[in-house]
Amino acid sequence: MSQATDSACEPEVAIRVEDLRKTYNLYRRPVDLLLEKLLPGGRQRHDCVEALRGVSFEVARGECLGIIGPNGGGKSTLLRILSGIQQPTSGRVEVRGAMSALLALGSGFVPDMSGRENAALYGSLRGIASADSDRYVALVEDFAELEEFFDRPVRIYSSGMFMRLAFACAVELIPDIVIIDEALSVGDAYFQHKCVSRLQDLRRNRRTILLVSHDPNLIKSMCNRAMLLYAGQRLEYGDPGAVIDDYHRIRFEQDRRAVAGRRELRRAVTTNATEATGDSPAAPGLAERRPLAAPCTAEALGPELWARRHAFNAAVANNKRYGTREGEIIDIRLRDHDNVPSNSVVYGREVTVVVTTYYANPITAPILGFMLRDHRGYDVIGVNTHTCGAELPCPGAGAVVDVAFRLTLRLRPGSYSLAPGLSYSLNDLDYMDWINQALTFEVVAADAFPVYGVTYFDTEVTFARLR
Amino acid sequence: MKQLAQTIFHHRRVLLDLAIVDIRRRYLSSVLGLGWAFLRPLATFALYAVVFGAILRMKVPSDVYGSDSYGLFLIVALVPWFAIFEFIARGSAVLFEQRDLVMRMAFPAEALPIPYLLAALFNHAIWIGLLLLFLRFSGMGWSAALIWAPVLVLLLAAMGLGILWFLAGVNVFLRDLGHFAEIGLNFAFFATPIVYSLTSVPPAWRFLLMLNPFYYPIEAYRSVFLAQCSPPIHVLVGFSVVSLLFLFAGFRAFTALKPQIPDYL
Repeated sequence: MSQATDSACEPEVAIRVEDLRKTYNLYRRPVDLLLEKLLPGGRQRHDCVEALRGVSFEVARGECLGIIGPNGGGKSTLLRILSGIQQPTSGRVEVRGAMSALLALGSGFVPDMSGRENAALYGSLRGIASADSDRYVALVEDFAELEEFFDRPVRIYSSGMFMRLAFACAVELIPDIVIIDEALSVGDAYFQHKCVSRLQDLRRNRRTILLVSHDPNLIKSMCNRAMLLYAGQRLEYGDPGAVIDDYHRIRFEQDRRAVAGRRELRRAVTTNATEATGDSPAAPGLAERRPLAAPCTAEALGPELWARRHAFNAAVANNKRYGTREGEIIDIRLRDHDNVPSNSVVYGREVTVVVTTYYANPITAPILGFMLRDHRGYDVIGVNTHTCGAELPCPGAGAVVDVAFRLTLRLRPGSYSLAPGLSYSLNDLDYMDWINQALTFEVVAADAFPVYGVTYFDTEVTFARLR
Repeated sequence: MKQLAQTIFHHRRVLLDLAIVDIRRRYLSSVLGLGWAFLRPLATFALYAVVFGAILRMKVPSDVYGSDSYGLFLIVALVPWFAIFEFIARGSAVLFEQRDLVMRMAFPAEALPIPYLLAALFNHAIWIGLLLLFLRFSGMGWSAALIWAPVLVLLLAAMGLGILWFLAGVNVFLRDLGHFAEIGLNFAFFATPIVYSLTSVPPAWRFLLMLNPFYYPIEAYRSVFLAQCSPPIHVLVGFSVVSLLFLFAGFRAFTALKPQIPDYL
């Protein structure tokens, strides 16, 4: 909202945020607010909650910035400040261009009015001039594809229909900057694709997009940059793949802390129960076995495995890895169709992924798998021993096990990465060890066989002449 | 103040739309529709007319207003009262009902009382139309004094906007205000000479009633519509001062609270 600086010096910046801070005053009881304001020189009667603690970033025109982070990380506050709803406690916000914020789709809709009337009302709320209103409503009608329901009251819409109308209303405004908060997770698959392709259109037309989502793949595929907001701070900023790996690591650590907290609680409860009844304590459950394991030692592995583990650990950056390490991935290798270790495989040939694992303690039915991702970080193939129907034998303490996955990679030539994971169970985030980008490899084209899509499936073609 | 006028002018179309939506929303889905806007106040009117007119036989000072019909005496005062009632009863809900517009659409909160004002004025306009019909059919007729009517409506609107701003803003921080307003309305109804006239109060107590800000609109409406003469100068001045004071105080309170409103809404 600067006027003078708009022109020559940095025409490319659409959003600039500098050292943004927001503190909420929380009053336990409503009367505290009154007492604090009315009693002169009274004590402070509120708790301060820092939603944003000095966030800075810049978004250039035409960029798509994905914002990801756990709940309570400050995403919503940031968006509300950017769209001018709330005032920051301190810091600077500069937004250049008309902005449309979709903080909650369907805001302002009146249930008793028809879709058409609501579209017109939404347009006028968003400052569409009366003269353009009919054209706008026609565009919305076209995009939403609600057919005869467009003229029925919104009250009788299904939630999917409601979302269609809301999204259509929002994207047909064609603003310079679009802010979207968790909007794409609704609607049927057909409509989701339509929304994503509309956002890609907007990007091609050099519109700036801010996308808040919990869907890592959406952010990887839509955004050219991502930001991880955690506890009101910008933890990570840059390439979406790397930022999302960090997001997963943080989710894992949060989960582990939560489990540890529950374990403490349960211990307290069981102790009391035991004292009361004299029974033996309950057997250790799922939540009981999450302490970080002691690191494995050279003696436990032997010199050759120890050297391999050392080289592997040096190769994978520490921040892309998380887990309790009760079981550990000490190496991963790719072998080509001739069973030769290689980082380059030919399209359509069989390859073997060998994961070497070490177990500090005996683990019942561990699950090993990996995620194969393309260069944008998009999850292409995910397999594990459980989905393949192979139950890993229960390894004893100090066991080292090689697990080999043999599969045929019909993937578009390009660069791919493998993220192996060793898990206690099929539960999300229940990892002993998870390593992002543990191995990067190339798929090269087979002679004269073009792959038009992401992958290819053997296809049989038949003809039937009708006339 | 200038900025506010610009905001309101910029959003004039949507504010009008919101007023229409508000009117429609209240009546659209019921069978009687707009009829409900009048059935409820009419029922109130009928109740009071029977209780105070027919049973308690309140006297109407015909020497003051030139008519001894209790029904007319009552309805002329109830018309502005219904408007005041609506301002106070709905004021504290303005920002909560329109929370989405403030919190999700970044709509300027200070403009949101406008649709409520317009909706109330819409009802008020229909009441004035009905009142003019009553006057004609009761044999009172219309006189030149009725040209004061637009002035009264304007002053009432200023008062209403002030009330709406004040209640809408303060209620975000002090949510008890809605309950206070409800009780206050009950007291105010009887503390204002609506079902009785000022002259029926002992002279020593009249100054108390004249401290009541709502005395002035009621008295002004009675002079113009019932006595059909220009309002007495003290009533006109009192009405203007009270209305502008309400408007200014409401605006000041709202602007002072505005930056904090989204944090607490």
